[in-house]
Amino acid sequence: MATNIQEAALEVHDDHHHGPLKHQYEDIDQQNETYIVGMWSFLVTEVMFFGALFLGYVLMRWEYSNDFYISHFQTEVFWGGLNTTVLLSSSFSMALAVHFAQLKEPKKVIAGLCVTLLGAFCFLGVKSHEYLVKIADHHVPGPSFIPPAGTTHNGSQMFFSLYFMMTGLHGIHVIIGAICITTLIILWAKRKPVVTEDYVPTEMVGLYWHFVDLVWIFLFPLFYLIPK
Amino acid sequence: MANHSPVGSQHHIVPVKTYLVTWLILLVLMSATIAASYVQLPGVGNNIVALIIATIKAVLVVMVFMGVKYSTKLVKIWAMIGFIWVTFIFGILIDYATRIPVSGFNSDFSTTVPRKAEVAGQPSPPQDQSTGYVAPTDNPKLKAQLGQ
Repeated sequence: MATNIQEAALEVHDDHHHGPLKHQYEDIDQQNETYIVGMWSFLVTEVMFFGALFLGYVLMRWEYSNDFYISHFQTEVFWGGLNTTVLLSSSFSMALAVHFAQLKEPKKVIAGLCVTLLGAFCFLGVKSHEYLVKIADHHVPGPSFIPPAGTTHNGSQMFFSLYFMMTGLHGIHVIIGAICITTLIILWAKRKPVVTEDYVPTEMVGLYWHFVDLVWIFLFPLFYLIPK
Repeated sequence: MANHSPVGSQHHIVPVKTYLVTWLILLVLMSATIAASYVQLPGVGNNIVALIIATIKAVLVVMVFMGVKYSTKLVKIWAMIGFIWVTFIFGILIDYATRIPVSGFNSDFSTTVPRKAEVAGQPSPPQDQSTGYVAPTDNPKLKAQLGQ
């Protein structure tokens, strides 16, 4: 009797563990939808806290519009534009990586992820160059802060506080994204079934990376292209 | 419930061409927003143009790259809800816009704390940096520059 039950359990076990489908899901579509909704609910919290920072930006720029206008010349459109291009392109290569993950073509997935990772490092390199320039110019809010010519201390300090807060938080997201992409590359290189049999892990890192791109799409005009 | 599609349980696969076209449109829009920033539009025109372009770019990324366009309704609701919340919180600006400025929240920052340079009776920093608080510094180059 006992052996019969064990055998039956083993059979059930076998039935429900073909491929990536977990036993609590009706089918793979339902499982994928559940994963994607879970990822999006995380992204909603991200949208919410970046949203609050954008609101803070709007209020402060309203109050110190002239200071924000003059201070924004300290950010260089060239570097900002380069970083926008890099992020948009890395989003494209990430989308391709997910596309080939669906088609189960590991080599192309790894190539796409490597290009994306290269984009992440390129972005961080440009960003650190910009930060170093601002540190050298004493534009970091704090005791050694020197306001750019023609601005009030409070207004320009508020501009740079928001600049470092928002681009810094975004930069942390880029670093986390780079770590996730590196992990994915390793998993794909080792042909681990967790990624090769199921495209969703790749898709989730993709969603995160596109979100990073999304935030930058708004940060770029707000800090580099401020009109009077 | 078990409504298996005949194609098998495959997620909709977006062709490479769609991604390529989206990427090119995004780059064109980025160039457009940079170009638009060099044109002086009346009033808040520049802000509106920059934000409209940014929103179009964001919609393209969310819909195509993040695949929301090809997703189920449940995913679409989740994808939208955060952005809807952000538009709601921006409603708080109505309060700032309609409130009569009794003291102005700027004054809280600028007048309550005396500027250190003024208090200490130090010589004024050079003209272009004379607008605010100047903290003492250990950097000799900066010291000379600030006249400390």
